Amino acid sequence: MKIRLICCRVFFVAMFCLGATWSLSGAEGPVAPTTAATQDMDSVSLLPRNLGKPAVGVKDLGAFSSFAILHDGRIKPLETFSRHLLLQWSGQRSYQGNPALAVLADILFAPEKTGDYKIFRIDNPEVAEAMHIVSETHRRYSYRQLEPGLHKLQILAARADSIEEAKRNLVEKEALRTMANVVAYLNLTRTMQYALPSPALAIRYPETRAALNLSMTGDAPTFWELMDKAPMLAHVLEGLGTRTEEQRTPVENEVVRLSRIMYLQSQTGQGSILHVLPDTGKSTLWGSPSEVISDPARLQYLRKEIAALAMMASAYRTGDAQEFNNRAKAFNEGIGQLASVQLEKTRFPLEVLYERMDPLFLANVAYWIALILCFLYFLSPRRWLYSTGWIVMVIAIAIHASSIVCRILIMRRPPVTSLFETFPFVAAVAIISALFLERRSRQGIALLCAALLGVVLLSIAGRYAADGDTLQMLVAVLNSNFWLSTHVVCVTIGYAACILSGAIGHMRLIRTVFPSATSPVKEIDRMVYGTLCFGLLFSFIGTVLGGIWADQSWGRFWGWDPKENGALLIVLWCAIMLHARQWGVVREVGTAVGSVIGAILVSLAWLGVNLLNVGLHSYGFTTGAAVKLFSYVGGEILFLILIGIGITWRKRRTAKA
Amino acid sequence: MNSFRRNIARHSVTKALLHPLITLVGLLSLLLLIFFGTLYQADHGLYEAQHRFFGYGLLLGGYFPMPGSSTVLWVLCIQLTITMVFVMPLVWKKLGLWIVHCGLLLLLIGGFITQTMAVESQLTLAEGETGHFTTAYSDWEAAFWKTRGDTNEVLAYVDRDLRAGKTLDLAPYPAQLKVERYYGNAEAFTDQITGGAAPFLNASGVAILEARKPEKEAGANAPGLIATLSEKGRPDRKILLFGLEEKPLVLKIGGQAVFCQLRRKHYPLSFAIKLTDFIRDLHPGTEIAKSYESYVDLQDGLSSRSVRIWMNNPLRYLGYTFFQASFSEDKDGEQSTLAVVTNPGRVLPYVSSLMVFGGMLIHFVIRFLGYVKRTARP
Repeated sequence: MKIRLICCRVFFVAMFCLGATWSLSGAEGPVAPTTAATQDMDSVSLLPRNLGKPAVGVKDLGAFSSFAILHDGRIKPLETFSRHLLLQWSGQRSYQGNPALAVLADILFAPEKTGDYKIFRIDNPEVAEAMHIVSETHRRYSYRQLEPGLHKLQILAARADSIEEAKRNLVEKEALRTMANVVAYLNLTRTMQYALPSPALAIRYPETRAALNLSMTGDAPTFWELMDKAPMLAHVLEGLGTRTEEQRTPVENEVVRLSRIMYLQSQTGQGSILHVLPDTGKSTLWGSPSEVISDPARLQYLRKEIAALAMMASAYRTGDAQEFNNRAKAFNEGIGQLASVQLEKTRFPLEVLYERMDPLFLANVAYWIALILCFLYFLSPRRWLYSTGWIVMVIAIAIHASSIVCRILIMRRPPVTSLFETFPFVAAVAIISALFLERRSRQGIALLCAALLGVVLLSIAGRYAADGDTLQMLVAVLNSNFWLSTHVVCVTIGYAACILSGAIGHMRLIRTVFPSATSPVKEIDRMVYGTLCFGLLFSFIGTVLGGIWADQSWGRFWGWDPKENGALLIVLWCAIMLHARQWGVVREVGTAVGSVIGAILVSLAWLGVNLLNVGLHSYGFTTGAAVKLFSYVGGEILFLILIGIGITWRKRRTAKA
Repeated sequence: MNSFRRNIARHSVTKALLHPLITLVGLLSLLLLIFFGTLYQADHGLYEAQHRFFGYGLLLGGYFPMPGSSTVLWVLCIQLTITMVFVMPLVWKKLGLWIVHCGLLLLLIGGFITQTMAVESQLTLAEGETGHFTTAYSDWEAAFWKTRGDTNEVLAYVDRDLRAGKTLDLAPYPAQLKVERYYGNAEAFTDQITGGAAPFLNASGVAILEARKPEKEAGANAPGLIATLSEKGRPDRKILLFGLEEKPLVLKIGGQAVFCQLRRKHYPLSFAIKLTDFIRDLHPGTEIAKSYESYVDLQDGLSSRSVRIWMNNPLRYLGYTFFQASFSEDKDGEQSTLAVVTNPGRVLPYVSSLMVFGGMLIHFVIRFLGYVKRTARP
């Protein structure tokens, strides 16, 4: 075994020298490994069109889904990785009914099939136009469609890259994003190249097969099969001496050709993000199979796993599901023993389940159903509509809450750590509070508000989820479970209360213009007031806890940071409303108007602050969101004006009557 | 006592002073000031925004006069005090409100103390380096000292004193310094035309200072000073000091060499801090910081102890608090920057916010119980 490893090393050194010599001479060999890849795989394309026998594929991917992969600083199951990768590329979690993991498996093990998968979404038509692509209705393109325009895209992306991030326009951002996606895809297609049949490695002379101890029949060997023959290859190469190509035997020339191609293949796919192999020693960095193949020291350490992956590849291509799964299990076990960081595998099944169920999406669907039922109930108040609405809401909030609990369990940290996570959390708090209010009032108004908030907030969350894995790692200052679970949670509960108050306030104002004989507004007034108090209490505690956290970590209680100011605005507004109501400056309708303005302030403090791009809290904002935020504020102002007109109209009518 | 309170509460002056509209307009203007102050901050930086919106008065949009936050807060503070002393009824039902408003008053007092007395500075150390003083973020001083590195015999004038036309006595050195011009933020040029025959004495060859607009971040300003040094029996000397100069200017005063420099204000420490190690941890495979840690030796007199300062876990010692603020890396290795704060009013926000929170909780519980009682009645 040891001798074989040494031979491997000798072989690699020899390969490297040969490769380097050819690179220098330039006549026969390629200039750079990147262009080399094009030559050995396909004469024009960066993606091969066929790799010998067509791949059958495996439907049941089983243990493959719980492969551990290091991505974005976190070790996660391959299931999560594949879903967010596809979501980032195409805006969808599956492709033509195939789960993301199956698409990833095709990209890795049968890359020739994936050239026509329309998985690259280009949102900006100008980018597609610049690449001379015939535009598609769904704005999704396959790699083969993009390939002729790649050169153009590369120029666009290089130009965009030279511009400061904040100054890039939409076209430049989209060009960079598309380029990054295509590069990631191409690197992934080459990750398993060592285990895939390669027409370039086809052997012409039976004598070569004999010299390398290969079977006389069969297809072209894979890189990995030839790696096994490294001692024999090395032996032939060592015997070449200084003879030129013309002086060598055909078999010798073929061995030289094979070694050269092997060297080139060992150098491709280096940028692959499939980091599924732990590093040797204490390092926390993981590597991709293509990286490990090109590094003899790491290959020696991970040989068994690389071999398991190779066998998975051939099982996948022949359609042998059982063999594929057995090898995947063996790989998982091997990695579990090798990883220097402990693989907390116990959370992987939960995460895989979470990703497959997509509970937030399910909850959103349920909220939609509840919303429609509530609307129908208000149009024709039938008891069964109300009770069905209730049941659907309870199911929805149960799914919704369980998704939050899942995230807490998976990441072992408090529920709110990023802008994305604020939406489901605020929605859950607001909905649960609304359901409690509904239980008391039984007018359907709080139920309608709850369904509405669920639909709106979870849809916004869905938008943010498209940016990638939402279970992200935290920056240093947030790495404190205590403050995250107190300050952030309190502030977001405050947001939830104020938004709920605003939602009920809307209903109150609509009721003022269109009064109903059956349900009195007094109960709605109480709800508006109560939620406002609740909002003041939690916004205040949240703000103060934020101050204390700031004092603990930066040495000042208050720093006039925009986010702090935003929270203070909410506190002040709630205080103003409660005092004005207490002193009789405003009455019920005034309080309702105040609660709507409160909701506007919350939206500004929550999202608008991130627009300013200053301060310690400016995170996670996208350009499109600004327009939507301003439209929301404009819409609310228009609503208040219309209500004002409506109330005057109503007063005149009653005066006439 | 109660009748006295009642009389005062019913007095028309009290009523006018405590008119709800004053409070509401006050709170509303505070809200607007914070809102516009936040927007202003995005374009002009925090320092400018604080000066403009948190003073005593301002012109909104250049024309519309408005009270600044300080004025509003004083008005609200006075109203609050009068309300509590004379008006608010002494009944159990209002216990929560009493606590809330006491807490608010304390919060305002705490804010005032912090604003007037707290000192924020920083200490940047390379690994192995020992610090004996901290430096200000944005305050500068013109310092004069005798021997290099001797921090005990420093004469320093802070930037407030460095106004044009002002004469500063340089005792114990037998000389006076008359400030000709002081630039809050300047750009420095060497004089290419005169070929080095500069009109000013300067350590780094600076001959021209040009005024610049203040930077967004107050700490990024580089001030400049042009002054005349007069000493009995010697002709006047014109000196030029620039904030970004590394070397001090050496002057002969009274037959001895005196160093002078325009530098960020120094705050001497009565103890020393030595950075032994700085560790920056990243999440694997990313550039996202997981943690920053500074290991320091705190040396006070003969005693010395090792302390770990990391995110959210500062070192507190003798009224000073040292926080892990940032770090930098250059060819000489890693440097850690600690933010240093002394604030005598540090505890007040804690106490006051606890009071406000407790008070609100009590009040809302009292109200809620009342509501339940009322609705429970047949």
